Amino acid sequence: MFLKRQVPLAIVFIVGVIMLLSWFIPHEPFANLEIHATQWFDIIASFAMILGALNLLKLQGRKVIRRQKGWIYSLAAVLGFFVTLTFGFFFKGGYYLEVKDVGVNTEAFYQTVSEVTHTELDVVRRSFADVGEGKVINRNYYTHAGVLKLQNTLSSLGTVVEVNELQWGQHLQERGTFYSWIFYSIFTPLTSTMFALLAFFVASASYRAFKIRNTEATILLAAGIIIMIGRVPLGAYLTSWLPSWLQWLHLPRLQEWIYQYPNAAGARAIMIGIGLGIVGTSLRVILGIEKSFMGEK
Amino acid sequence: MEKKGVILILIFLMALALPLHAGLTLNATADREEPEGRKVILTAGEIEQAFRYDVYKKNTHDEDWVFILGLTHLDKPLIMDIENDTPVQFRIVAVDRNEQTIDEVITDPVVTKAMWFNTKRIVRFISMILVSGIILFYIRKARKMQSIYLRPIAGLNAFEEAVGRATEMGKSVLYVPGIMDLDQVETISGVIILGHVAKMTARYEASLNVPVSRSLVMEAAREIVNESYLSEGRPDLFNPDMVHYYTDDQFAFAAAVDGIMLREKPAAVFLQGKFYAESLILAETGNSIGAIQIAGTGSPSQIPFFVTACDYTLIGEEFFAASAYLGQDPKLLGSIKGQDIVKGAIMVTILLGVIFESLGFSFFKAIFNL
Repeated sequence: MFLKRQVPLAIVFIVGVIMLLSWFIPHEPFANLEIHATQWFDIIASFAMILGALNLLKLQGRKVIRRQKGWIYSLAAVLGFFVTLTFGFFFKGGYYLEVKDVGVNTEAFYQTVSEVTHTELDVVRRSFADVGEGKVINRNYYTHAGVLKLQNTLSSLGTVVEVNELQWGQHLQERGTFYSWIFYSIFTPLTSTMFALLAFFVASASYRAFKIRNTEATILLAAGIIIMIGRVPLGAYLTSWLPSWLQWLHLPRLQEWIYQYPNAAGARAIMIGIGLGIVGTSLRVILGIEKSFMGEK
Repeated sequence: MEKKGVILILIFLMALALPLHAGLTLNATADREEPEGRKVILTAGEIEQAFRYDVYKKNTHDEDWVFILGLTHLDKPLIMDIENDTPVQFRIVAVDRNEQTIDEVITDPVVTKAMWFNTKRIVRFISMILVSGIILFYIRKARKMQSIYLRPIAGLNAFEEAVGRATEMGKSVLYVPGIMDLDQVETISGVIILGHVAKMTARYEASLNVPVSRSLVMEAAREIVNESYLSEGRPDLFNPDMVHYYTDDQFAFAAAVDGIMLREKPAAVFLQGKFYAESLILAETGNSIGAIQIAGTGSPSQIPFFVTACDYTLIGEEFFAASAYLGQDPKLLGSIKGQDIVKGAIMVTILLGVIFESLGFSFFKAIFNL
């Protein structure tokens, strides 16, 4: 019980106080404590990810085995997990050619490299003219067979090239590897799709928010319209005829005023509340008054 | 008389000639105003024939000089970065148009030191002591007070209603404690509130589903849910898989939670924690399935989205006060009271600032710039 209750509380108190004071002490060993603490946290979180991964496999795997509702999605999750893991740790791809000697048929060589790397001929010409031999052709191939095909084509032109393979670790960054294919061709479009959904959700949410139900909603609608129109050239055009004594009604000026004063005042009031809430919560946690996050009453 | 005149002329001529023969000067001093140290101010005097000045530095124990930069003028002080507690020398070499060295000068070793207290943060330090002191005072005082009044917060009152509704409908309660890790106060707050919601689901025997996007949060949330079920005397209803991990990725997690919402159609959705752009995706999906939604976050930019799409939203401080409000622990309530006193003090300070600035007195504002 002592190890489960008192020790964690003592650690939270000591670390919390030290971290708090370190912000006011620029001298070593306190100066870079925040950076070190963040790194420790990242390391611990990385190891903890194994727990998460196991939990994911257990629950989704069980769904697939028992053919529970929506098991097909679970199957996609499990397959996605293993395929990514396999290409991350076991099959990397990333074969490329290193030019040892361009040979005499230089124009044909430049032409071929330009085609396979989708680079302008002049750029290729300049690139290989500057460095000469020992330069890498900027195209990675997933398979050995793929790179050999290009090697044969270049060899027939009299160019001497050597087949190389990306190092482990490099395959996570460079294009033309299985892992990067998964990342750029599957993961990124899926993520972008989810993000793009926001546009539709913003439209539906705005419709509800701007519906005139009461005084507050009407004010919100009016402010929203002024801000939206005032920020585009149309707003300036619509109110450009106003006489000088009514210039404060000029839409760009009006929207700026709404944005800078009522909006900023409201936002800052919320920020102060949030700041105080964070201070209060932090104090309760550091002093051990709030212990429920550790599973204690 | 004649002799005197000759001497005067000679003195005059020498005075004229002095600037022509004045050599290159260089002075290096540690910037004592810089709390973190590491800054050296170099002030140098120019010479007429120089075309360029090359600045070098070296640690005193090193042999070679390291070139730092070349300058055409030395009319402004140079600020140089060095390592603290390491004696460093600077050298300036003046060269002419033919790259011939005209003159050079080397400084004495200079050492910078970091302060033991950042004086530029003195106001913030005092504020921290004051704020903490007031909150602690009210926490202590709360033990003796019979009751502390907290204004009714609609969102928090709706917690029980939402869980009750889910029970009546025979549907689950979905709780999302944000998408960030335990290093964020909002996540800790979200996990704490989860404990209270878990007590309600245990009491009502409602099904609880907690998808998380961080492994550490999963462990903490499991522990707290387990404790809640135990405290309600229903350990039989607790299942560790109530809290389950999906992914660390923001939008993949949003997709997974949206999937749960659309497939399981929970009757109550709690979004309590730190959220970013996925907030509206989650809240709008929850809205589309007709679930009663209660959101709470400390992210100011996400509050409008939650207000629009959710039935109740705990805005800023309400979110952080939720645990005290739901738990009714006197010590926690005392801290909320302390926060309110501090907030009152801040309001008075802002008002005073407005009055003084309007009257043209800037001393009050200057205090906070220290």
